[in-house]
Amino acid sequence: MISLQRYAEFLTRRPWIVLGLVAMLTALVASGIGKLRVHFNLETSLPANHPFVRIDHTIRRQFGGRNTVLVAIVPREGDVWRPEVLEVVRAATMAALRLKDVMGQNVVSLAAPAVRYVEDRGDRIEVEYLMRETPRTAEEIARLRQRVESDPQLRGMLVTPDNRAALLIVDFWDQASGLDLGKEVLTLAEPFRGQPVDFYFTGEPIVALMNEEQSREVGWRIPVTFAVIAAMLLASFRNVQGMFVPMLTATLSTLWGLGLMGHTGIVVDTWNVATPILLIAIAAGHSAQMLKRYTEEVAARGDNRAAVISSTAAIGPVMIAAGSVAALGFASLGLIGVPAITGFGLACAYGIASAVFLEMTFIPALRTLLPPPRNPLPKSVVVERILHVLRFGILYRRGLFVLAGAGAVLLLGAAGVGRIRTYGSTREYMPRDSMARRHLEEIEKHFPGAFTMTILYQGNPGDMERLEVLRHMDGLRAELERNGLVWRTASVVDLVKSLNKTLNPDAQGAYVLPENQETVKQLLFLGASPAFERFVDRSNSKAVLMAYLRDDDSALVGPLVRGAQEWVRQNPAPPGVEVLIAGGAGPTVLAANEHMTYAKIVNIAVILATIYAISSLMMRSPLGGLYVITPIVVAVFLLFGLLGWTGIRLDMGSAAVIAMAAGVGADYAIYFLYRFREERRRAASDAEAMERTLQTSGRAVMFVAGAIGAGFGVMGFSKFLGLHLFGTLMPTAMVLSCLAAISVMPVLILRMRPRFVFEARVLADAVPGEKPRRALLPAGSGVGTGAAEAARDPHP
Amino acid sequence: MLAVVVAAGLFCSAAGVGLAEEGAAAAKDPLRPGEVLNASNWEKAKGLLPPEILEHYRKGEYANPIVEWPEFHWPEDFRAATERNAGRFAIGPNGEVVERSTGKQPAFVMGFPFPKIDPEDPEAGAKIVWNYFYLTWYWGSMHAESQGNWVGPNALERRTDQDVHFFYYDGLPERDRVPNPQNFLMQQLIAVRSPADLNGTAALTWRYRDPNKRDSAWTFIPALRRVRAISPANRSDGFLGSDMSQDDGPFFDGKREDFRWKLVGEVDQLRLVDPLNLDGHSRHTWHPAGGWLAEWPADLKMLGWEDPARKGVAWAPISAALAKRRFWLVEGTPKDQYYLFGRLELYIDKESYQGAWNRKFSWQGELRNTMQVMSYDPHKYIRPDGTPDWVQGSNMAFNCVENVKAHRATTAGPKSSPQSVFHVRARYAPAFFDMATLARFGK
Repeated sequence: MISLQRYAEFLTRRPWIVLGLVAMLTALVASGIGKLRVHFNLETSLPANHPFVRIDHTIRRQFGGRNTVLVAIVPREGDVWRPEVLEVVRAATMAALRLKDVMGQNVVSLAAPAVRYVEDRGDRIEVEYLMRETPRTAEEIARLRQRVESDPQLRGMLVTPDNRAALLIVDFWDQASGLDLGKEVLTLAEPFRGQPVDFYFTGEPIVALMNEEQSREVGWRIPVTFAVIAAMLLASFRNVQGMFVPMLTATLSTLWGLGLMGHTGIVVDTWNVATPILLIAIAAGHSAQMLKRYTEEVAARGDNRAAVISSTAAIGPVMIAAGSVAALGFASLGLIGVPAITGFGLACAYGIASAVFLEMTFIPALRTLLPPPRNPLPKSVVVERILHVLRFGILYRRGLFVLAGAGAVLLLGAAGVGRIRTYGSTREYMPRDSMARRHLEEIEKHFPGAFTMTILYQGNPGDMERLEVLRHMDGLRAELERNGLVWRTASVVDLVKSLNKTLNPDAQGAYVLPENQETVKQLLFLGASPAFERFVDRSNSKAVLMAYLRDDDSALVGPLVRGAQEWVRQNPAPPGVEVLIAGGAGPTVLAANEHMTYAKIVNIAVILATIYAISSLMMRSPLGGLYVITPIVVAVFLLFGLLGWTGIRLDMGSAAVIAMAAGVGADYAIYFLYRFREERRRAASDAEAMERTLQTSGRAVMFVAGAIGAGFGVMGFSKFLGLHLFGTLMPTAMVLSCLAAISVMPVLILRMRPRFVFEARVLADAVPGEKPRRALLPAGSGVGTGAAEAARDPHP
Repeated sequence: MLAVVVAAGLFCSAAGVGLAEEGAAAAKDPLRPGEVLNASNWEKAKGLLPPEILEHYRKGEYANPIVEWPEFHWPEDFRAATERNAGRFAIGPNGEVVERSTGKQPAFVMGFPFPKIDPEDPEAGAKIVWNYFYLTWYWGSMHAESQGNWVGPNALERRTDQDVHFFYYDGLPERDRVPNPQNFLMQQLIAVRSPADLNGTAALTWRYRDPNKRDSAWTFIPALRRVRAISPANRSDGFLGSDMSQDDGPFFDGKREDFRWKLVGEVDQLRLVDPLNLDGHSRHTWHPAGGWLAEWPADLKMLGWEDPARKGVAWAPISAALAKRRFWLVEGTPKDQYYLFGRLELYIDKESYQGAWNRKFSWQGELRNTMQVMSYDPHKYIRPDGTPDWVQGSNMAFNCVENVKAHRATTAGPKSSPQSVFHVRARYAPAFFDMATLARFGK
């Protein structure tokens, strides 16, 4: 192993060369920023291998649906059955059909060409557009209304049940960008600004617009976060270098992270748009740890270069360990199987690894050239008081009060965990004053089925014309409609029933399926229209049963989906036909919630395992890793408890933030434990070692947690729930991780007295002149070998 | 909706019209007869094929030999009639053909109504389209037992077989004309023969020469045992989930008057042809009741899906060849806002007025469908009475609408079986196309 001491000496001997090389490397890496592309695609946020998502893909490839926008045209007064309102519906429909990438056959409204009305006029069957021309007279309007209301498949779908809104459903081809579609579809309202009607829009393209707004908000909060963290560091270190160097590391590592994202083809999306904030905070945190040690060494040695060398050699291994833990923890997000999360995890891993690299190359070289900080680390009354309390709590009666307090808080947390609510409507992620939320709520006042669930029937060509298949579909329809979440359903069964009612005198006007197979086939053959393309593929091998849901709350959708699955288990589809449950907005959100909540919890476990493995390796003790992860486990458990007590739902958003917190919070325990072990090797007693550790690493941990927490806290004031969670749970996590690392963990160590800290042979490694035998810390790393042991601690 | 009506124009590719696209790229190394256009030399066809068709060759999905088509053999009576028509006709206020002298619709037209096209004439586009129709109708009435195929990129998805009868009233040689008191343009009767549960489903359509009169149509549904009059809602609808519509027919079968036509220009294009036909091969035998029975090579595979060893898309025209021709590029804009497409591009042979490529764009200008058809050089046969007769001389047929957006196609044209009838210049009694026949066919 290369001696870090010699490595640091090399850096400080040729600082300009190092700075030049790193600057060139930075330019090279940062050039990747030019390749960054912004792409908001909901698809990448979904677990691609989840059955619901795969079913949804299959359905959308054939029938559309991902980019569906529901437009409600609401007159300010009265109902829609007036010429001026119907004229707006007609004109808006025509405009919708002219939109780019629109799927013409999936445009549905009173005036849509795909919507036909079949009428038996004695000797003739009229298959006409429902409303080709705007009706002008009361009689014409009454006839139109009668046509809509007499057809069960049209009733409620074109005009809301309260007759207050006309609906226009617009669907777009899958390859189009949701963001562009959202902007495009909003133009439908433009020509009617002066008219006494309001347009309301809902659907994923509209959500994409909200995501863009959220990303813009992240954009302007990044410099605020930067400023807050800088201010916190300045307040903590009370010198310019104390602020400047960590923020330089943060800035450069963010540039590296973004550059590497560009070079490796990771796009900027809603998940990783906030990565710079995370990177600034984490990089500044690592840098502050190094700076703290450097400041101590300057005070102890009085020689800048020697201080750079010894601090780099001492903190280097710890920083590499902590950085590896965090980077691997984030990189492990790739295991979740969600492209956007993988991109986010890799982006964070790039930035953290970059921060460690810069702290071990660029910053030591720079420090060699900069004047050393003149002010010794200041003593803040508040910090001193906290440290005093901590010291007392840890040492008095062997930390009994700390353990008791932690136990009580954990019990409280456990009670909170029992109160956790899972999932919730996606509208909670929409700010109340956002267009997406306002429009959705306005539409829901009139139209109760704004969310979809789709079920795919799949068989051989011609299977969807089989009467037994249609009967099965009808049975499943009835089962779905028994659930209060389902407002209504639509499928090819409705079309067949409608044709049968109109064309088959034997049906005597009843809205039922025909009695025999031949009639079904012949009705379908003769009655084929663009309307069928929404429900059956052209080879009649696939059909979609669509349910309109009152809510997309996964807690409600889950039972509905499982109920449908159970019904199909008890009532198997006819031979050769498979029923795939389910796609659509509701099940997709359920898939994302189920998969990602589960995956995030697994991710937390993976992060903990990574921390455990690396820490144990570095300490050469299986127990070492356990001590390091204890504070994180405590913090994560308490965060779950907090969810229960605050009513924040456990879903993909909150689980993601907690997983991130686990990755970021690991640093504190690692830095503190390393330092305690180092101090214990040269201190006469546990108390002395603990005191020194608290005054050095403990103080740094508090600075860093405070700075990072405040930085994340900038997001706490966001109106977007996702950002709000980020801005409240992350600072809370920082405080909890920090407190647990500098209170619970030390008490456990002092009580359990693990060999890797206290064992004589290990301690002997630290004695000058003796060759290290077990510790992985390299000889000459400066740990335990520094001169003037007593003088080095500026805070005796 | 009301698919059987649609099938009339679709599944009996009157083996005669074609399509092609713009751009005459003067290649430095031009394609030569005998060469096969495929993935190795596709660049030579740049500008000589619609981009979406060229893409098939680039990807190795299509591969066809290049052949020469130096001259079109004109039926004497058609040529003579065309010469007589010079200056006689004009485009009426509804887009119909009217006599210049009276301003009224003529009772009958034979030959091209507009033998000379002036590219500067604002009506040039409409006139070219009328010329295309009158050559199509010249080939006369027919009876075909043909198949319709719904084809995915890799395989045949669905098939129907039908018995198709067309009876034309306009554009025919004088000896084939019948009295036309109801001013029909044509009548068609279609009965589905397979699959079995659709057997007997039938449709009857009458189309009128009056530009303002909509088609009359009836269907027979065996399961309901009833004949019903129907009113087709939109001629651009794909029927039965296929990519073909009523307005496709053998190349284009919309009402001329429903569009605004514009001549965009002239272009050189490669077009699909029947290579056996251009070699002078065809086999037609006289039917005792009149007309010619076309006998096609029994073992000829026409579509990609028929040959499991073949690479490429399943609708590839594997027995066709490509010939270079000069085309009029005509653009049609539907007058009806409810029409599924916002613009049509028709590539019509400048000499023969046969169609080659019919490209259909959305109202936003995005390409949606491309219809690809095969073309023929007329062949001369002698009737038993010793008089000459002209037929298209087909040995095969390829009539394909490719849905570019959905990457799928619908094909028509091939006979249902080698023994199936392909009877051209067939003779019918007008009474054949009535409700009684419809019900009888449907049984």
